[in-house]
Amino acid sequence: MPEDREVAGIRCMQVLAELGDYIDGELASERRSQIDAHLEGCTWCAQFGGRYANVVGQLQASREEIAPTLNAELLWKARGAV
Amino acid sequence: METTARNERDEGLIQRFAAGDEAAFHAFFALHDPSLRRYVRSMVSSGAVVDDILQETWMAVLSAAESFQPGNARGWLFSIARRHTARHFRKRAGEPSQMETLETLGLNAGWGQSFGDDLAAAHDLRKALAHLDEDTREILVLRDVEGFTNEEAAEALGLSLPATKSRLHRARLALMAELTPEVNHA
Repeated sequence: MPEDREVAGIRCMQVLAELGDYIDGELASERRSQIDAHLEGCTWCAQFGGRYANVVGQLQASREEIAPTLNAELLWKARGAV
Repeated sequence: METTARNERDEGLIQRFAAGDEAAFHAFFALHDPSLRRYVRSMVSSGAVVDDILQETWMAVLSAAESFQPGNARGWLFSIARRHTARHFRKRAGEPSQMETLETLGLNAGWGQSFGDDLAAAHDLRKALAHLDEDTREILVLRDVEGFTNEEAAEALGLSLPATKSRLHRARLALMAELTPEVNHA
């Protein structure tokens, strides 16, 4: 069990709880700065946050481009029949 | 394209094809069918039913267009797709991650562990996604793969915004746990 430390006024558990909003840029600037300061002083959270961001980036990059295979014209003609 | 502009474009197309404009339907279909196909394909175990689900979805979209309420076009579209996909969902691979505390999810995801920065290979990522329960996989596909906003995902899933964000965070941690088997002791 890792230690839940307080760094820059925030505990690691709080950073874990807010990490998604932090990565998504949804935190208010003041809170974001507080977490930035925590990450600068906490290798544990910085490393985990980096990995979290990497996985999100991997998901975003995994989207395959595919073309439609159904026929929109046939769907339009069949509308109202169901 | 910026979210608001994209939504306005989509709402305009829905309103036009609801009024009988076939070209508007073709345009809307071309814009969204690939995304719907990726979503359905990621959620069902049999590729054979993907076209059936998509056809049912598009017929339902055409039927429902007249009653469409502007506000969140992509969320509306995927809420329809979700209803038609749900009965074909893959079986759950495990207990829903909602049942676990955030701390447990974090520990399983490697929080507090030392590891390299190496990224998962694409096939590992797909395999890990397939191992997740459907609620977990679904939010990752919509939000992170398809690029939905939290608001769009919330509309598609029928969840509140806070519940959507919470599910997303937990889902990402669950995926990290799948990609970090050496520390996954759940």
